[in-house]
Amino acid sequence: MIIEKVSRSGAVLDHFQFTKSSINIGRAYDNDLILHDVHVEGSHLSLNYDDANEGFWFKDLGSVNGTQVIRSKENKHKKVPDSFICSGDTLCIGKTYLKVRSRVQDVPASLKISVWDKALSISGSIWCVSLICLALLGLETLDQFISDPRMNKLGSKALESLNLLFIVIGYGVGWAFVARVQKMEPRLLVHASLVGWCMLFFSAFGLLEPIIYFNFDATDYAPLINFVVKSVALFLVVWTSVYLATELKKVFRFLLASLIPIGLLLGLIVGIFQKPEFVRFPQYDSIVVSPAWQWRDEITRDEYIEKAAALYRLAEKEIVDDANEPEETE
Amino acid sequence: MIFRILSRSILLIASLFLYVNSSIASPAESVYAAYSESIVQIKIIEVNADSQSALGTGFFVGDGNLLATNYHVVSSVAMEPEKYRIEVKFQGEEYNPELLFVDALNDLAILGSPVEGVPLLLSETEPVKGSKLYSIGNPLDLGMTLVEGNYNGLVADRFFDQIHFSGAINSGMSGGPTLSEVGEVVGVNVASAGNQVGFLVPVKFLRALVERAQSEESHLESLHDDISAQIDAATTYMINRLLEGEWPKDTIGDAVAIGQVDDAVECWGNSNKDEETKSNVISKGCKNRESIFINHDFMTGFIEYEFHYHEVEDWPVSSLYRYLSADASSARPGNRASKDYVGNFSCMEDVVNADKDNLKAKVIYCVRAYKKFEGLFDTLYMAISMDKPDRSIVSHFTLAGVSQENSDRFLDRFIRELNWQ
Repeated sequence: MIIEKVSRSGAVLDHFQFTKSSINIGRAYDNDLILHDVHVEGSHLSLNYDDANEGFWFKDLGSVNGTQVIRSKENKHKKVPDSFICSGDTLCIGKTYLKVRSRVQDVPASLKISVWDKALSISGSIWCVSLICLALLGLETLDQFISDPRMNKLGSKALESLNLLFIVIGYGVGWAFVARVQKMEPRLLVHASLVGWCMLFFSAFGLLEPIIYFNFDATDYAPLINFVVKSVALFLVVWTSVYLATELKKVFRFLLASLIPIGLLLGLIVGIFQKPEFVRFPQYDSIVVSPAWQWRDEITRDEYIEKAAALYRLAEKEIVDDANEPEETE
Repeated sequence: MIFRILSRSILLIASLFLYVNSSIASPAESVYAAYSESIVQIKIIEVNADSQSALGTGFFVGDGNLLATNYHVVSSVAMEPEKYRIEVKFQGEEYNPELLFVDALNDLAILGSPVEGVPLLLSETEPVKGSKLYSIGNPLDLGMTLVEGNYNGLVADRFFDQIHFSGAINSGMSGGPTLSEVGEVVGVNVASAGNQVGFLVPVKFLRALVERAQSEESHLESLHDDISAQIDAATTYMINRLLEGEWPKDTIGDAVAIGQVDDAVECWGNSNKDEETKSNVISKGCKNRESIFINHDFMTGFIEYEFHYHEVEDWPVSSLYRYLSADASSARPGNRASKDYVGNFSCMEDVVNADKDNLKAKVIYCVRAYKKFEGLFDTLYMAISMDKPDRSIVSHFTLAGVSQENSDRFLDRFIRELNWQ
């Protein structure tokens, strides 16, 4: 018979194999399985394997805290006596969970290591993380160079870029610590590489933004596009980190990863509602991009003037809408 | 800059000074004595707080039951009649005249007086340049103040006539008459640029308004329509004049811009060639010198156009265009306007490629409608050329208080003028 010591959530912590068909379990040293749990009796439980019924008979030896049975999903529907458990069921004694298994029980087929796991491993290698960091610094420097081609403020800006590296390392250390606490593999560099990719993506997106907005005439949707891009990227990063560093169930992983997108969404909504009623200055889109990046449709001057006529009706609609709103009382 | 003589408490000192220093020579004395009965002090009272919010001067005209003053003295009554009322102090008694007619463009208003005074005669002739004039006003509760000065003809280079009076007109004297030596009104005190430079509304505009007041019934409910028509007429006149002839070309770097189209617009220019950043920025612009005051939080009748030329050396192309995007992002309307008067701007942006030449630009056009003056708009235009890797011209105009037709006419002309050399 096999006994697996499992955590409350079912993760296997340790396992023991017995050739005898009957064993004693407890805190005392004359037991077959000795548990270091103060809530467990010296002699707590005896367990007998029943070959004919492919199960186990257990007997509580008069413990203070008793013995609870947690039937596994596949055994739940089986009608068995109270003191009989099937392979795969769990006994809880004190604060220790023991899952019993019969030697003949089948194990599920092995899972193929996913491409993503391999990709994560490569991404978390030291050379890959270094490359990400270099690329990130490169893109940031390019961005600063475009803003300030004379590099007048290079010194102070370079320091700002270094902050990004601290974020990369800090994120890795943070999740490695979480993983440690959860008794998982730390994989510091994998976490660092994840956030590195994300920031690299944001930098590249930042450079492409004006080109996208200009050519698709999408500046009005900039906050929305920004929200979607950031939410998706951050969700994926946090989801993967949670997956790597904890054994949380899917739903909790999903919830944790959704925290940042939900925050961003709230920001977006607050932004919409806080829009001032009257803006003294025109809010227009002045984004222009270099000639090589322009592929937006062009119109003639006459077409433009014709189009402008509709603007007066829009402006008039603005004041009509305004007048329909109830007046503020002073 | 010319400041409107809206009376506030600081004037007390100025007026005292004035009073002591006025040389009351013989003609002045007679003017003072004879006409002080025709002149009243006008107070604007905020109804809720029952407190004085503005002060000015007025005088009897017509048959003696009309009072003339500046529009800007009574503008808050014209715009918010439920919040303000007019109070006149005449011969020790207080009366509440009602607002009958206004001429916002020339800053005049006619009130109907419940009591009769001695009307002043309006001069039929233009004074001789250099002749002596006497300006009378009633700042605060000091009583009448008389200022002597000279007639200097009409102010040069304006769309609309104003008299240049070299005398110290001061706040609180707004709406008071300026009299010739024979005691006829030649103008109405309206503004001061300080240092003995004063401005008067020519009496011809007052005469027209008085005639109107004598022949027409006042319709207070149509006051806004009246003002609308006045703003529209003023901007139509200005735009007609601007569109009349050929527009002088003005080179700005590598581009051709528009120079001074009319003497009534004043132009400026500056350039900034920076060796360190290897950039050259040239800016030029023109605007009209006058604007129409409607209320303390709303001005209109404003026209301006500007050009900014940017040229850079050894910059990556993206740098120039990122810089331009930011530089052109914050155009402001030329006029002051609160939300009581205008709606939000609606804007459109498009890439315009001229049909026959190579100037390609992102053109932005924004329009906001007037709330109280139907059919009038503020418009704003901005075009950023984007076909050259190392240079760009940003052209811009704003019009305030224009009809759609006038703004479109101006846009139509303006959008065609700009080109590379």
